[in-house]
Amino acid sequence: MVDEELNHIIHRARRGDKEAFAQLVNRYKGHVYRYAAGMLGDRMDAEDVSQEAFIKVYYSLSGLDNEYAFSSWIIRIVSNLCKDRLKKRAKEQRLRDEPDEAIADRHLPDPLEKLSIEEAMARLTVDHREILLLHEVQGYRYEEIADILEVPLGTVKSRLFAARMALRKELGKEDRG
Amino acid sequence: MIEHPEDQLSAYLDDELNAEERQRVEDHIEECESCQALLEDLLVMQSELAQTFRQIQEPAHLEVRVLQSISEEKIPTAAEKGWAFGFLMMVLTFGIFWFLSGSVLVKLIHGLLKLTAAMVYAASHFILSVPVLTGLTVVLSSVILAVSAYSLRRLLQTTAN
Repeated sequence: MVDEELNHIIHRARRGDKEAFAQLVNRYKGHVYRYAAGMLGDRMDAEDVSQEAFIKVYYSLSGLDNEYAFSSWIIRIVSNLCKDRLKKRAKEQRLRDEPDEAIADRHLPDPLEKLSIEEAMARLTVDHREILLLHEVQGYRYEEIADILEVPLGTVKSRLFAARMALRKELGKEDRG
Repeated sequence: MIEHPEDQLSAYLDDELNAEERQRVEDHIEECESCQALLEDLLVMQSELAQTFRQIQEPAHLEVRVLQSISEEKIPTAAEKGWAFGFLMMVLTFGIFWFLSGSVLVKLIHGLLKLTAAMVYAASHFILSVPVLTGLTVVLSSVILAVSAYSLRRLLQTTAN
């Protein structure tokens, strides 16, 4: 029932109905914004990227093949925008700082430092952060993630495990023998 | 040494294992305390992560801003179209003008060239017919030639130095 309603909204938005498009943004803004916030670790940047993503969606909605795949399609758009922004940020950082300071994300965790989940996430690699957000926050199944990231199912499984272990390490919970 | 199916634990947590794999992991957990602890850790972390991000509030009027940007972006497009139209009209006007006045312009240039040639011819005739003027022209030409040769030499010397 909900899906039917959503497809109807998408269908109207595709024909240029701005009110339908506003409904679509309203429905997906949380989904898009939380993903961007997790990837970028910055609320202002996340807002910019979300806005950019929806503008892109507006102009490319006619190219959407399958209305049922809207959710993963929009995530793919915001994911690409986030990665572009992260690359730009890394480039700016390289220009500003000493070469060895550019990879602050890879710094070893201080055993005495207690990080919040968001801080720990910011220290992970882009791939690990991305897969954790897709699974734990957005709630996608392995098969859907494989489709979004265009990687085999086995890669999703192993990458998610590695990401969880990396996050656990950053949070300082790695104390078992 | 016991082999811990740690990577399988993650998929077990997500209910992404088939029945056989699931059974194998469950059998192992029952026996292995460290894997039980790891599973517990992963569970806690999973719920903390979801909770943290659920608390993030999305921007209240994002849809308004998005629609605003879309309409703002459309205005320059319309203006661009206006510019393109204006440019096209200008080219068209010049084209029509050129087509209509082209033959007149060609005739005008042709006439001017003929007039210049005739004037050069008349001037040379006039110079040759008056002996004083001929001598003067020859002297003047020689002086100009000498000065040119001298300044060219100087110029070449300066460049070489």
